[in-house]
Amino acid sequence: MKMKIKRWQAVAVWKWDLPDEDDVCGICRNVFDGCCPDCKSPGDDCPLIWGQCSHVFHMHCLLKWLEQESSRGQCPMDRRPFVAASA
Amino acid sequence: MDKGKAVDRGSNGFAPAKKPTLVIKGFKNKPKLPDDFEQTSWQKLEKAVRAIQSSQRVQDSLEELYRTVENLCLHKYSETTYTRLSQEMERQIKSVKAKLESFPPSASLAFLAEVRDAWTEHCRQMLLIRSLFLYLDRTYALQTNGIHPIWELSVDMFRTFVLTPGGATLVGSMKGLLLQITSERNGNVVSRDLLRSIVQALLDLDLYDLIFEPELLAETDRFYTEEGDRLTSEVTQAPDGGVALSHLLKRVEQRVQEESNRCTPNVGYLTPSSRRKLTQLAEAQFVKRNARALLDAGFDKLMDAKATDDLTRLYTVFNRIQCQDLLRDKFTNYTKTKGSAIVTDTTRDATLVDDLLEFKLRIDTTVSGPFRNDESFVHAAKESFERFINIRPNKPAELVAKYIDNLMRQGKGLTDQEQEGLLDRCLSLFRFIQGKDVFEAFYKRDLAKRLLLNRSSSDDAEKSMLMKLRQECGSQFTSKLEAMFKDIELSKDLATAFKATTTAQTLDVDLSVSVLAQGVWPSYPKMEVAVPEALARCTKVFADFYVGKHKGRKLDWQPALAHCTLKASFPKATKELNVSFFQTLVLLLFNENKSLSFREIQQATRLEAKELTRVMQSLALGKVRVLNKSPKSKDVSDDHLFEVNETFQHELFRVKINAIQQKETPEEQKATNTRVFEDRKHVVDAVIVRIMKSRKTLSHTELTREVFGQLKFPLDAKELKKVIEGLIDREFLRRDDKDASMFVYVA
Ligand SMILES: [Zn+2]
Ligand SMILES: [Zn+2]
Ligand SMILES: [Zn+2]
Repeated sequence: MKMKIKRWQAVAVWKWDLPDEDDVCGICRNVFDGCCPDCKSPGDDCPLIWGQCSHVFHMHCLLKWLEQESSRGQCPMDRRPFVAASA
Repeated sequence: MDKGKAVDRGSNGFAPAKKPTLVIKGFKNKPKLPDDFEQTSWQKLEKAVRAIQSSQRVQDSLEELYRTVENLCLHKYSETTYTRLSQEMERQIKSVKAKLESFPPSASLAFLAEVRDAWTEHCRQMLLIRSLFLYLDRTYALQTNGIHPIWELSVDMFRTFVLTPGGATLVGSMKGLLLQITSERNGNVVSRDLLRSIVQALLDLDLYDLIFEPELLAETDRFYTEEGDRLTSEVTQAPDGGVALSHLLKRVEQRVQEESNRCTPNVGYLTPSSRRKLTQLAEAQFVKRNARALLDAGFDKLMDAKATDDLTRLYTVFNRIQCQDLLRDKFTNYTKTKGSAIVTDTTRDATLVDDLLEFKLRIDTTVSGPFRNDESFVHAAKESFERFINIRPNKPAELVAKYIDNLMRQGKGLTDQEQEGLLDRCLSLFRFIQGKDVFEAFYKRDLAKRLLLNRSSSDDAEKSMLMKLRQECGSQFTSKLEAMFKDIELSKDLATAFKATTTAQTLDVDLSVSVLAQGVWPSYPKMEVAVPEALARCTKVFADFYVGKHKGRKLDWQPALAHCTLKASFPKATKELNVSFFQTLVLLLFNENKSLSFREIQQATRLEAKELTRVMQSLALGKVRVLNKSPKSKDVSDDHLFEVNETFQHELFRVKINAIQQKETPEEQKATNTRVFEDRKHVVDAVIVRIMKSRKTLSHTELTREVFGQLKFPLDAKELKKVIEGLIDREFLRRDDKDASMFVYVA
């Protein structure tokens, strides 16, 4: 007998590639596997953003933070100017 | 005038008028009345009256007699004439009285006929006499206070002397009438014409309403009480009360029709004004007096037998006797009892949903048919379903979800419309269920499999179901389901893009990947498995492609949900096999090995023993056997051997053997339930904290009431206590120092 795979319908769950899976967003305190408080479902609709300082946030959370004048454009964790890490 | 002509009395019994002879005389003196004017005039009239009374020919013409009366009245003899006439009438009526009283006291038909004849004759005479004395009637009797017009006078005399209230003649007549009615009720034929005449006499004489009807009703009451009691005891003593109750209901209906017919003008003989009283009596004595006993003995049987006609009769009559409440309570009780028997019988879980659907349909058609959609019955049905379905927590919700899954996969050979209808009926059951979260968890789990294994029978059905669920459960639930559909769509696009890449074209496997967002899909346990080098390379190529498109992400492979199409060449046939990924891994081993033990297969695949056992059973012991097992037993042990079934044959080219993926394992079932209960604990935690945060201090009773008021799933008091203890341990709450039954919120 000879068996050969013609088609393979695989399944994978995508996750944020973070060192610690239980990490939470420094702004909203929700886990990254969930979404920011304004969104309904995690995933494409509620992306993360990495700073050059290596801090990660929900993009929606960070944008809201940066809109506030008091933020002065700083990373809320280390108070250094926030610069997104380039891909 | 010849004799022959003299016999001809004309139609009214009077002699024809004489030809008037014209005589013209000059009036010399004022004419003077002869002294015997009144005397002779009356004699002429008396002769006529007596002729009428004895049915003889009247000598003079009506015209002449009429003028005689007129002359008497014109010469102020009205009062005398009226008195003389009334004496004549009285004399005649007294002779009728004597004649009727000469009959032996009896209520016989012959006697009734005599009474009828006496009245008919009286009326005939009085009509003639009245026309004779018309002038007197008009100018005197009708104009003078304190005296009756002639017709009324005669009626009054007849009542005074012949059909006297309390007198033997009236008593006998009424008794005779009632005997005839009873006889007819007992099924005998009676002379309705005769009875109609007697009733008419009673009506004419104003004796019906006050004297006769009360007796009629008393007799009717007696008759139906007896019959009602007899039939009721047949119902309560019968081995099958349903048949006897059906019989009784038909009888009431028949009795009501009969009484109604008896009171229909020209057909029956009683007056329409008696109809309602008689039919009410029949219904009251048949049903109302024994209402509860009748329902207890027969209602459940009629429901069991789906006796639509009898139930219609039952509702109609209970409505009329204003006992709907009794009937509704009985119906509620029936629905709850039968329903909880279905729900709590754990041996019939396999057919639970079908049984409930069937039962619901039966109850609904009973309410909309026999019970005329009576609002209080609609409500009773709803309340009963809510009650009994939740007697057994969680399981009905789970089974309804699975039933719908089955429907969405197979379609069961139904048309789109039939399937829609069935889904709606499932949802109408689901509506009663308190533990909606259990349904949601199982529905979602099943939907995930349908989507990932391509098992939905129709996309349209899935979308329409999604809309129905949005209405039932709210968008919070369906937004996750919608996200699942979206992932599938995105994955299709992704697969197309991937196949277009040059690296994908170097792979010798046609790979497509469903990429799922976490938190949207049900969570799956991690399954370790050893993947051959060539396949691992494929996943690596795809993962690189994916992360290239989506920075910051990684892929977690779910081998348990994957499936493959294999090209399999057997000595006798070449087939395409639809198999799970685990089945694939096992079958690929047989490219290099003729025969392998369970232990060897497990070492090669690293599959967990329980899972591998299921896989091996599906390949060697299921309907389609691509492998042979020795020994041939159903159980699987480490040293059992497997080898390719060299004689494999199948009528189809494409053969599906991955049903095990669709099938829920006991572990999955348990995990799904556990997950729901875990989620519930978090919800209860959150609800208590929210309540206490706003109320600060609450007694145990108050807190319990508030929590149960807010929860959407059942929770028993023991569970609640555990959660509260947990919150005290975690210092969200504390007990009051003075009163241990009071809780205080710790800020
Ligand atoms: Zn956030
Ligand atoms: Zn967001
Ligand atoms: Zn930072």
